[in-house]
Amino acid sequence: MEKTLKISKDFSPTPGARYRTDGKFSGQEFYETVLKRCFEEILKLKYKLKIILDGTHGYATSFLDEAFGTLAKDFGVDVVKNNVVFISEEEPYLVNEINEYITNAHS
Amino acid sequence: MKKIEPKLKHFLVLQQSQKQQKNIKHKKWKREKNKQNQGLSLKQKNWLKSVSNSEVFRPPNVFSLRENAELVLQFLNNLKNHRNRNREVYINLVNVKTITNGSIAILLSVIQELNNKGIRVRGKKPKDKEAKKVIEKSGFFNYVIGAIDEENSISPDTIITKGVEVVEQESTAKIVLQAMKTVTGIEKRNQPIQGMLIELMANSVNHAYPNSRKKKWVLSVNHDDINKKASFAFVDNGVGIIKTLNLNFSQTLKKLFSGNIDLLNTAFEGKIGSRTGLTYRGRGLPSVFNKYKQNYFKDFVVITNDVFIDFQNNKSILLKNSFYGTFYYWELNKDCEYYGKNA
Repeated sequence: MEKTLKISKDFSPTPGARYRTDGKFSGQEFYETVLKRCFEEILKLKYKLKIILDGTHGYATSFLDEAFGTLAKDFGVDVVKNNVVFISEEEPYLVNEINEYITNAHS
Repeated sequence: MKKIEPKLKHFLVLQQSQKQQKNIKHKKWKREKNKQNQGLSLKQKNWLKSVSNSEVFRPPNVFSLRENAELVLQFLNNLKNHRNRNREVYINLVNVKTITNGSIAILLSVIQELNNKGIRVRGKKPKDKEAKKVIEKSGFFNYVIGAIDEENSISPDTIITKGVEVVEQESTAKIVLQAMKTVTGIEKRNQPIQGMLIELMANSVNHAYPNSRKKKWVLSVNHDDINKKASFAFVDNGVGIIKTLNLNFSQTLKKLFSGNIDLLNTAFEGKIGSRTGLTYRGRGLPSVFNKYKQNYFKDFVVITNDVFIDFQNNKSILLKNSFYGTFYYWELNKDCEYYGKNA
């Protein structure tokens, strides 16, 4: 079973930069208000999390690094890699970039 | 009756005579000045009066960073170095023949910097019709008081600056839709360009202005409907990329680079970490450069500190006049890649 999280719909069509201090819809805000809870929920239910990146106006690397790097720091690189699938038709290179942020997340 | 002492009497007479002489001199000067101003209109007389209280700055006739970087930077540095709060700045653009959205953006950012220091800035528009049209249409006068000819009042060209939020991604999303309309005829999202704009806005605040609360950036977009092209200029008046990088490097690490051009190229290529052995987190510049390499935009120019790089023409110059900040210029046209282009 899997749960789908579409960032443009479940968070914002205009994601921002890294920190809340940068402005609205930051990576930090996304992690703290949406992603963390969602990930805890799927782990509890033993589901997979499908994250759809399409539909927004575009992402800054700092947003993705903050959100998914922090997820990997808090839950572990392998746990995240084994339980999250990223989908991006509009910017396919983002999937590799995010996997890099997860792999390089420092605990 | 009290007698005035001879010494005091002598002093009072002398003072009166000096006052009279001063008055005569002033009247003579005023007569001369009026003679000089004879034949001038009231508008010209007012202009002369205002200029006499200001320090006048004149940009080069070709006011374009790409075509005339040294002279434009020299002008901007002179302007930035004006520190006398009691003397206002007068920017005389009358002789400017060529002006671009990049130099307008950078001029606006310097004006804002002067205003932050409490210095009043006024000026005169170009006499040249085309140059006047460019500045009036650019959106410059949404931030600086000045009349716009009716024919130039409606324009898709935009200038935005940092407002309440550091990163204004909702505003840039609209700007990108408009730019894509110019290029393709339809309002479309362009995710790589929006991502890049967020990157630049965030960078300008998180890196460009260490120890400063007056964080500012300016984005200017020019629409060329005939050539179906949108050109972007982004500028921050922070410390500049090279200076920021150097702040983190020891003298030994600095020696690993053959100079500032090499350092900047390495930062864009994302190889600072591998060259220095440092854990370097700066992903913003490499991400911008990757988008350029993947042809999401063209004609990419960066000016920061003493380096000018025109990536398109493979041209790097070490500038004599250093720019304290970072300037980016790029273009979107029909040859650029975007999602759904071949659909």
